[in-house]
Amino acid sequence: MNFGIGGVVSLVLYLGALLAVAEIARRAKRDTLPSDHFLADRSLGAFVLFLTLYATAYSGNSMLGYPGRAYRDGYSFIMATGFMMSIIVMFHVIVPRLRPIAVEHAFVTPGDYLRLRFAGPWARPLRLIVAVLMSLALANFLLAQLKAMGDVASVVTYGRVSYPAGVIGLAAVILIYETRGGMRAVAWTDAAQGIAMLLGLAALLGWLPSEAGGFTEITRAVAERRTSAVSVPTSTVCINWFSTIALMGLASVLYPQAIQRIFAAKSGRALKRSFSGMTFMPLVTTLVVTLIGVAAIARFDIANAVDTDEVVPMLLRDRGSAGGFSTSAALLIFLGALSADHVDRRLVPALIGVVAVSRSARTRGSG
Amino acid sequence: MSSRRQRRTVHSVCMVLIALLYVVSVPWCREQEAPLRIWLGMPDWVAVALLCYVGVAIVNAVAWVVTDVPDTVDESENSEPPQ
Repeated sequence: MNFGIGGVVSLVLYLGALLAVAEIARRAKRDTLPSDHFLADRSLGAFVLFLTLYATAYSGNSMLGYPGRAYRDGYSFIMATGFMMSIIVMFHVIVPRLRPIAVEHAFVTPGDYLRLRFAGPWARPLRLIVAVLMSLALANFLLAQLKAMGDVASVVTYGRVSYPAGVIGLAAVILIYETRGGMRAVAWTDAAQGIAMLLGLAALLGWLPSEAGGFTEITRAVAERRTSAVSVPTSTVCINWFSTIALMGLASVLYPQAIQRIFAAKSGRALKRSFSGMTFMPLVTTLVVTLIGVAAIARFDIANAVDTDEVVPMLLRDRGSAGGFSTSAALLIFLGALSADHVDRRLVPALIGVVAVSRSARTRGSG
Repeated sequence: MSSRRQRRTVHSVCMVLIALLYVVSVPWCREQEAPLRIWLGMPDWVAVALLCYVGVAIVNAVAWVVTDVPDTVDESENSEPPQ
């Protein structure tokens, strides 16, 4: 990829902007309560809430992992558009019930709900188990995101920043700015990064079919290269397809970072409006990265399954080498993917889940 | 019928529609060996799935519009936390 000095400058400017946002967010703090830091004083309106939900749901995994999976599976990975949408459907089950209780009892973490709902000798071990399970589930995303950050930093700077330096450096910057700025810094940067990611994806989606002569030509080329990528899936795949939709819908609504945003909303009305918008986002994100992955079948021959995660970097390498606007569009996607799922977005809620356990244990001990 | 009850009815209908669209989106009954037919630039079974998901998005948005997300607990309805 030939981003070179431009990539280094963009990365430095981007990191500087993150730190500046953190400082502004720190000064915007109204008090030292946990709810002010972790929930932005429950002040997120519909627009910022929508964008922070978007940037939380669509991460480095979506930008780099999903196209790789679509490259391997072919068109049957259209199921991803369905399962990402099912998450917003399943929020109907918990949001209308959890929101009023969360407001009334001033919840900050998922652990607060467990403390309210369960009492008795098993309550504390239960909270601990939940915190550990949430941490384990989030560790998967954390590792994927660290890998994505190292990859992206290395690619954008044309190797001037090494993979390990990218992982450590970016994790450190993110840890600093989110520790100082809290949820306000997260939400504000999410808004900008969500827009950057959308613009970058739109540019890539516009470029791919125009270069290949349209989607029909892409599908024909994919069929010539690998028939199984376009053929009707087997009954086993169909069963997996449907069960994945159900499983993702049921499981993903319990991610602590998603629950946090239910607590952080300014009002129930803001939540409703955000979720109404979010239901369309798989069509402009998951579908797009799926089509990008499928289109890559006709362009690249990647033998190693692990290397399929490089599909988007390889496409952007082609596009970035064109220079000018193309480079800018590629950079937008990279920076969106880099930042759309910050380290602490996954890590901090898990950690504060543990904190909530110890806090409630202290409360119980003192009361 | 009260406005609240009407909204709940619409919400329930939306949920049923969404479930049906998800079932239809999966190509359960298509022959695996069928020749490639392209529709909307993609294999026809993919286009059907995509249209179903567009439908899910629209119906789900309607469902959110008619959903009540209160900021206070409705004591008359349920004073207990969700089970």
